[in-house]
Amino acid sequence: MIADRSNYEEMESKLAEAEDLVNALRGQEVDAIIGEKRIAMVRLREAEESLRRAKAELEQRVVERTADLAKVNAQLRETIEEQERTWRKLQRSERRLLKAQQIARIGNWEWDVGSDTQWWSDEIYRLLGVEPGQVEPGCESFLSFVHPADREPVRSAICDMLNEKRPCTGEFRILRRDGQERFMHSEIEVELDGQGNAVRIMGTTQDITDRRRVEREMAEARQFAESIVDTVQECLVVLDRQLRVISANRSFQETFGLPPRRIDGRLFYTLGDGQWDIPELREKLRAVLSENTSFEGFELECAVAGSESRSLVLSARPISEPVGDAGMILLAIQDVTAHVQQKRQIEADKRHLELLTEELVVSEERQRRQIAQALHDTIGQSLAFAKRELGVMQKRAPAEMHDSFKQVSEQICDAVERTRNLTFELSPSTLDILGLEAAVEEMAEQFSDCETFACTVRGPGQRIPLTDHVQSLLYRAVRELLVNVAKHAAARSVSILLEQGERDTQVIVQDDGQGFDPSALRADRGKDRGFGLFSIKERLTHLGGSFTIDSAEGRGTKVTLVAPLDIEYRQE
Amino acid sequence: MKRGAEFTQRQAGGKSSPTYHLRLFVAGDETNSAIARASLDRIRSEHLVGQSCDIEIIDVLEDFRPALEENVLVTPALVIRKSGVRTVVFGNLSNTEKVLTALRIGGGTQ
Repeated sequence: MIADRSNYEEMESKLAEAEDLVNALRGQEVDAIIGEKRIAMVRLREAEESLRRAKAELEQRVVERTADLAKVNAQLRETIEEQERTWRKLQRSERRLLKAQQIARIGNWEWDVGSDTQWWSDEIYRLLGVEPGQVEPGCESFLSFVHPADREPVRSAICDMLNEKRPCTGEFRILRRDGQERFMHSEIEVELDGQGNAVRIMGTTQDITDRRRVEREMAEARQFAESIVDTVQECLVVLDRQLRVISANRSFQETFGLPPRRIDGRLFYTLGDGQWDIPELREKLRAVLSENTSFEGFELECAVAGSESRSLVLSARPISEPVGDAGMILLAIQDVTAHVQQKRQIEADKRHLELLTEELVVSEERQRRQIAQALHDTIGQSLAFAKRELGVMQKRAPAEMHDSFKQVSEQICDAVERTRNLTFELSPSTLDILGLEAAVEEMAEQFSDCETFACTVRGPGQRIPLTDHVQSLLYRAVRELLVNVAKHAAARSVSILLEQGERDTQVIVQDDGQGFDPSALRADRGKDRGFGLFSIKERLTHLGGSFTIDSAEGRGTKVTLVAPLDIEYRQE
Repeated sequence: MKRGAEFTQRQAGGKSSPTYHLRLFVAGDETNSAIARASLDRIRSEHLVGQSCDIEIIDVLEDFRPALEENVLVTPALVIRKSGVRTVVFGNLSNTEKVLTALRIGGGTQ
């Protein structure tokens, strides 16, 4: 039993050992297996590890390779797409070029010198008036289209270009198949090889007929405008922003004796002898552009070389260029020297005339007085004598003659009265002796006696200091007014007011008559005779006084006369 | 690596405690053998302190006859002898629990 048991335990132990051994093997915890003669190394883990590594490496390589392939593929696709794009771009570009050539009426061509073959773009054919390909491109066929008059020059230009191997340009005419004559412009370049031989010649040819026409029209328009500007009497100058002269017309050049070389491009205020260097003018010109304003009628006296000072009137305004906004100034200078001289002459003449008028008035007054004196001294005295003698004779004469005497005596009395009145009218002695107020009072009494209105006079009560002819003028003016009242106003009363101011005297004649429209008077003045209202007004104005009528229909009339006092008297 | 006797360590532990005779068979510096050596070293320093214990490490690559004699056919293998009872643990001894059980069995079930 014991032996059995021992055997059993040993067997169990061996089994456990075997199980442990198997587990160790499974768990890869074994390094070596020992045999009868040799040892076998067990490196499962390492083998697996290296296998796994190899596999991973392989996988990595596959991934990398796949990525590489994808990349190459993408690049290839990109390249293809790029090429397609480039091709499409090229096609578009070619189409555009063709269109551009068509629009610009410009064609290009190439000439391979070695093979003497030419290529023309479609537009070249069209410029010549043929369909593309309709003629064989070449020098001679091209020359056949060139205008006969230009053919030789063009041919020799081509020869020169080939010899000198230099780029060239040229303009010539062609005759199209339909007979149209067109202007062409060519630009030609030469391509050389290493030895300096011309291998290829490339050129463009453009139809410039329209451009030529426009240029000609513009030149004509410019010439037209310039001829107008040059014909204008006024001096015209165009200035730029810095006040530099862009151009000046002929009138300016002639007036100021400046040739174009001393004008163009120069600063305006440095022209001539510096007579334009006027700060105020410079300021005004600058303001034209900076404030976009213009000025007119700027007057100045300006010395001009070789002649006397001139009177000028300047006007300026901004003008803008058709392209851009550089801004220019058009300065117009009017030479008004003659005008100013004439004006001065007129002023002088007028003054002279006024003096003459004054002299005339004084002389008239003097004559009046002389006539009045003569009337009084001769005719008046004679009549008085005749009347007295007649009275003596009447007493001695027979009774039957008394009636005749009486009649003659009445006639003489009438003549005396008339002479006296005439003398008074010509030059009232009261005026000379007692002055204006007294004379006017006397006149007012006369009118009150003879006419239907009552006339009253108010004054300062003392002699108003007036020169003889002013006094006489005022006196006759009042008389004229009273005559008018008597004739037209149908007034019941007239008041005359005399006032002495500090520098002048004022006479107001006012009536309560029917009045009138003063504007009608002006229209009527041509009919005035002699010492009319217009004449009074003229003379008063000339003396430095005034004449005012204030009247309206049904409101009476008020006339105010103002005349200066006697200066010498005032100075005393 | 030299044979057993020179590496035998006898620790002066308790007087009455039985002595462990441990023979570890390894194959040079192969991975599992190195793990086994380190594991045994750790177990000894952690669990056999104060125990009487001699350890012999035999490299079968130098001489595999002792292995054949012990009937050990694979390495690493730890032959434990205690009080005449022989137990063998195969593998790299990383399963400490298993080794400790073998050691306890070796010492406890007598």
